[in-house]
Amino acid sequence: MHDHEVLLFLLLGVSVALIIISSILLKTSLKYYRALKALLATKTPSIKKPRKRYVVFSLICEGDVSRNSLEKAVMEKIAEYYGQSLLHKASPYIVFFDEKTRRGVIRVTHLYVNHVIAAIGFIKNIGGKKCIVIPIRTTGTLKKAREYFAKKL
Amino acid sequence: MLARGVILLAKVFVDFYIERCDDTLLETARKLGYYALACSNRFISGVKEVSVKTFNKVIVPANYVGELRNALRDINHKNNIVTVHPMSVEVARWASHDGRIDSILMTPENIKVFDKKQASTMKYYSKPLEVRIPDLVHGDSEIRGAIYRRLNLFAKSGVPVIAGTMAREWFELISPVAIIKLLSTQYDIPEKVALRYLTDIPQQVISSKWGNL
Repeated sequence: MHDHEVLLFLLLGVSVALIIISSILLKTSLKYYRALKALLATKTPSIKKPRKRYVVFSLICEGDVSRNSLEKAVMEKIAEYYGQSLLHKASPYIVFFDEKTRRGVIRVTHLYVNHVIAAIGFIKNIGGKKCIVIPIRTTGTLKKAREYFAKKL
Repeated sequence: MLARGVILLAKVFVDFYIERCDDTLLETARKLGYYALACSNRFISGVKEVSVKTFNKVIVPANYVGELRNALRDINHKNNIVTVHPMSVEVARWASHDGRIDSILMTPENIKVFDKKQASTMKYYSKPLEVRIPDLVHGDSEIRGAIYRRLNLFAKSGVPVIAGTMAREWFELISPVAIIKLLSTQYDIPEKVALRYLTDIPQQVISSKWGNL
């Protein structure tokens, strides 16, 4: 047997061994890849934080109205039209109310802003006084709401 | 008088059904963004100039066709907005194709009159359907359910719909924005369609009689 024939057989043997090793490595790497993918897939979906909206409103009333009576009227109206469940989901809160200018801002969850506007628009009585609530503008930030709150006629 | 901090809204809205118009009500309507009102009873002194136009409105309740025809004979339909409150199917069908009638009123009392055929007839003659806002929010759930189905049937059929507040006093007026939001949240009517119920459609009825305002 010549030297070059021995070299040829040796090279053939090495190549076969390399193929076997690479296939084993591929199998293990695939296993790790699948495990990683499964790990990522089982991650629980995140719950988005509800955003806030600020509704600037104005009142037309026959007398002076206090903040507490207004808050009570708003809550009652939302509960009457859409139920207690939506009232808690919407979580309306009067951020500020100026009794002199009769303007205010209600903070509400962004998903229920339309419900709150509809409900407050139907208020006719606040603390025994005849009133109308006029929704003026909805904003995404309190800063912007303050601008509309302070806007002159 | 009443308001101190009201930002004036865009005056594009029409209230098609006011029971009793007076000076205070007109002033409030102006602040809410209404520019035209259809009043059943007018008690306006005219001392204070208010930029809200008012029109006479006549509501004709009728149980049968003969009664409606007799009533229409006595009404000056050129100077009044004529609305029919049909209590039977025959009257409703007949009212759909009469040119003197401007709208047909739907209330809980006559809701059974408004079926699919009535919707197609009203669509064919482009006769607007009129609804009262208090009927949409008050009353029991069964009636409101019936109104929901009828309103959606007529809205999807392409029948023009008009909403009126039926106010007797100034505090019974409702902000047009609140009406639109109510129709979209409780009655599943898209906001753009609901906006037409308070602006475009009533304006068309008024301009067909008195020209462009």
